[in-house]
Amino acid sequence: MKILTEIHVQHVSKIFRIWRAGLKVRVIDDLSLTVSRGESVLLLGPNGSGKSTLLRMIATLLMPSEGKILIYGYNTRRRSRALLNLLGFMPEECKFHIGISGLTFLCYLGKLIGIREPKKRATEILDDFGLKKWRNIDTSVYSEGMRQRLGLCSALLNEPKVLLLDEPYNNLDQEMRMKLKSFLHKYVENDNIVIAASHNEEHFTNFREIRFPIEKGE
Amino acid sequence: MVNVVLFLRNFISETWLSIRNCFIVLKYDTTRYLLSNRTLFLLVFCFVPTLLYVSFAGQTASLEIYLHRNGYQWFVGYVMQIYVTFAYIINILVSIVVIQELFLHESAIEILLSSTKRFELFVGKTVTALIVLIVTSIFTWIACVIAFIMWQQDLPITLDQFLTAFLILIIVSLVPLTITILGNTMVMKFRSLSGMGSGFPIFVFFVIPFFIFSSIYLGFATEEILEFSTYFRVFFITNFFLMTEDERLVTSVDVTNAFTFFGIITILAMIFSWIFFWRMETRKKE
Repeated sequence: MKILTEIHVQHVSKIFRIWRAGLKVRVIDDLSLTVSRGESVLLLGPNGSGKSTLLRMIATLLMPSEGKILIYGYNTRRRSRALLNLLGFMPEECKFHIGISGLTFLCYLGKLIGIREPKKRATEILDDFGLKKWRNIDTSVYSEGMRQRLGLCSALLNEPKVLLLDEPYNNLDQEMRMKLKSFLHKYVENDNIVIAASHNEEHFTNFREIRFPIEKGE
Repeated sequence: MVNVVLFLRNFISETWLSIRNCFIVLKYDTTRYLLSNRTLFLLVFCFVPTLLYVSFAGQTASLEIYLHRNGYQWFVGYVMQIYVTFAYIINILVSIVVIQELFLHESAIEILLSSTKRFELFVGKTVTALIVLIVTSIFTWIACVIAFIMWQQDLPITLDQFLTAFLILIIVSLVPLTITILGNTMVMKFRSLSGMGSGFPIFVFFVIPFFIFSSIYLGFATEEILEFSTYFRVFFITNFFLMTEDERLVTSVDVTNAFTFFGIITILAMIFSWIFFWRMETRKKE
């Protein structure tokens, strides 16, 4: 069976400059990694070990200081539209605009991404994640768990080939955790890639674990 | 040949998508901003010049005496001058408030940056800030008109004169707009204290002029130093457009210099703002 490798992380290092303190911190050092189609990966490690940094580099929010990341052949440095359309990212702390309902925000995002019927798609996905009653209500009154669910909806809106989730089970109730778990399982079965970062392996069955911090060249 | 056609097709579709997305960001952010309770806050700002105008005029003398002494043309220039200068100060304050909200306190920035191109967000948000400035400038004018009506005075200004003053105001307001965007994108890029986002324009538009004016007043500097004050140049430009043709010939070089000064600042600030926004990295809070 031919394995198609879709994400190549090639000798990537990340150095953060902390301007105020005049420091340079090397968070990731010479990391190489490949992820194939239909694979789910868990970046596991304690706080500050670099797992979220790697996730953000794949999501094009951070640029590698050295090395490169290729996703379906697209270099993340170029941030091309085709690449952005392949990605769906959910940050650990999901924040939305005050005074805007979940449905309005998703419609806005859908229009930016170029979805044909953004309202229909947004309504569907909000219903799937249990936000049917809340879709027309201002997001500032949402609980943390509801914001987390809206963050998931934002990441899944364009049905991305690569889904990037930072601590996806945080703040979710037991029922929603089980639902998300089975959803991610089905999502990967459809030849998509899921990469999650967490400090806890609970709920991540069938995920390939990559433990952080990673030693140089590992 | 096929490559050229493909390139052209991609170029056209990419340009079309960029323009479309800029408009989507513009529409969303303008609606989000103007149709919220923040507009009430802006309206309060708009009434400040009118209140100052009313109180100054009340303290000095009645309008009729001024009109009798200086003539109608002087009065028109005087009203315009006050409108542009005060509305300029208001626009500096509005820029600080609005741009900080649009750029620095953009709560969904990570979701947006991972879904759309940075250039589209940058242009959309910049134009939104400009539109909010235009709206506040109109509100400021309406507030001035209300003050005249309260005084039971006819407004002796034609639409042409108003539009000239309005255009000057918008042109000179581009400087606080771009300087404030620069301050906020610098904070985003270097992850410095968020207070710097407002501190930078406050330093440029309030602290530096304060030192300039106080130095002249205390005799430490000559009036030539005024060239470094944006207020002086705003006054100069407004005055020029309200002069007679003969008077204009004498001062046209200085006005060109003033416009060049504003143009260079605006362009440089925009270029650096875009570089900072483009190179900005969003990482988790330490």
